[in-house]
Amino acid sequence: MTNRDDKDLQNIMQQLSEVPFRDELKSRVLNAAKAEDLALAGGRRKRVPRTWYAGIASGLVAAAAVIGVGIGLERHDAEQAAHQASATSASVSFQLDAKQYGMAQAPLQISNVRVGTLPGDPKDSDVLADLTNTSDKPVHESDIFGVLSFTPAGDNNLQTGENWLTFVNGPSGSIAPHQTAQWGFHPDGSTLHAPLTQAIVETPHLRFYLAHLVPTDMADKVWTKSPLDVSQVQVEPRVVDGRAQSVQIDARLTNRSKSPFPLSSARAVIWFASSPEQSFLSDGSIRFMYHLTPEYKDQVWPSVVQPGQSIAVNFRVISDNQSDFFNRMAHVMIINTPQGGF
Amino acid sequence: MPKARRASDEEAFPDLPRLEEWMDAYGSDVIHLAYSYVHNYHRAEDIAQDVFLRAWRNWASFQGNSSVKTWLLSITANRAKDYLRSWSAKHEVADDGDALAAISVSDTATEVAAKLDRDELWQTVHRLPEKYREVVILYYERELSSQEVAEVLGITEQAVRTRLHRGRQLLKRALSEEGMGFHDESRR
Repeated sequence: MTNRDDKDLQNIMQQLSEVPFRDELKSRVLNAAKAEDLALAGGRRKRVPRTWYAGIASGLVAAAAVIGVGIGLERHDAEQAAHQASATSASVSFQLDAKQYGMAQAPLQISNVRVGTLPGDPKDSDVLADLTNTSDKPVHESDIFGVLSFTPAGDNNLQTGENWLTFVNGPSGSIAPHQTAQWGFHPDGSTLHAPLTQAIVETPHLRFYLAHLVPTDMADKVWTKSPLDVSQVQVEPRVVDGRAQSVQIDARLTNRSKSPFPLSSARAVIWFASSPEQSFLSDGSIRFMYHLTPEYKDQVWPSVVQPGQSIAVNFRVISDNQSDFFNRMAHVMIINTPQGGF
Repeated sequence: MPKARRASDEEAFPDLPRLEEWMDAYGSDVIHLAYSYVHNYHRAEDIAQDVFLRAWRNWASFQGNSSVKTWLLSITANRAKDYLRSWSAKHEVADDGDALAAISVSDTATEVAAKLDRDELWQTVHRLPEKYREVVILYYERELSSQEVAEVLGITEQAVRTRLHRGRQLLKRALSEEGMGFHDESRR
């Protein structure tokens, strides 16, 4: 490539038709920003970045909008809204080396979590839910993240541990204040579906959290790192076909505590970040949650890590064939399963 | 240059001038990059709107390690890729269609979209694989340095140079085949 070629290419590329940033679009953005400002604090003019405002009234409206939910829920929602308003007014920045991460519930009422069918999917192979925005502010996809988990059929208790879990995004676009959006997701866990019909045979549970951290003393849920140090994280390709690709994440876990550590008591949180600021909270990361017990026949490691012991583990993830795993930084964190599940 | 605005707006919405300045300065970069990914003018406008609102909402999280321009373009690249890939979102059934339908699409936008659809050069560029197209657009069309391209895409400068090399070859070949004024020496 010569400098002249470079110049020629530059000249040619300058001949691409202009993609105008129209005044109408500018007005649209400014109007949307003004609407968000006005939604904050019922007319309070100053914008508080990364802060949710959830008025007590919003809880009442949301409760009224849910069929079959009585007065008791109104009280609960009002308290919840007030709690959220205070818990989320303080934001804590994400630190890779933190020992704990405080999560605040998203201002969403999650109802009617059920097994159903999305267009194009096998019958009853998806999880559906209704999400109602209980705040006075739009809830955008990037504002929240979810954890979808499953317990065996007939066992509705997350306390006893879930079989399988995954990060999920919020609905694409946004949910306007007090509006309800239907949400759906097709999980790929090997134990979840009936072998012949693909119908989900386990019980789904769904939670949504704000996509930023809060102080642990104000958190609805605290994720605590296990005493397992993670090192030597490496990513290697496995299979790519027309639709999906699989990569394997290798890691070494070392028990830094003085007690044996059962792997069944923790989960791996894995994310691929495209920038240093991106954590597992960001919808821009590619993120996964995994059990630490071997999943495939050729995966062998102990179920308990002794004090000082170091073991090699690996996780196999599947995504679409265009996910740019190898242009991103892979992170692995081992989190103790919180009381009541993730 | 930002246009003059009513004093009442500035008092009522003190953060809006920043947003307006960003759109004046970088709106063209953002929508060009968005369009280069999605090849759909209306969708590119939606992404651009999302980018500026996200940046405005998350201004407090901007670390200042990069310029505002590369920060905005980085958000644009991620949002466009999320839209294109959305391997989890493809099963979500939120009101995306309703939201799109609710936005009035003016004749001007439709005319722009039609003109862009007819642009053979854009069509040629869109046939490049995404990983080469994004560096070619940022480097040659938006005239970013290789370091800025690396910041936008979250990759190393070496990776940018490698992709630019391959992207140049593919683009030269494509332009030569389409008879668009570039003679590909390697095809002799």
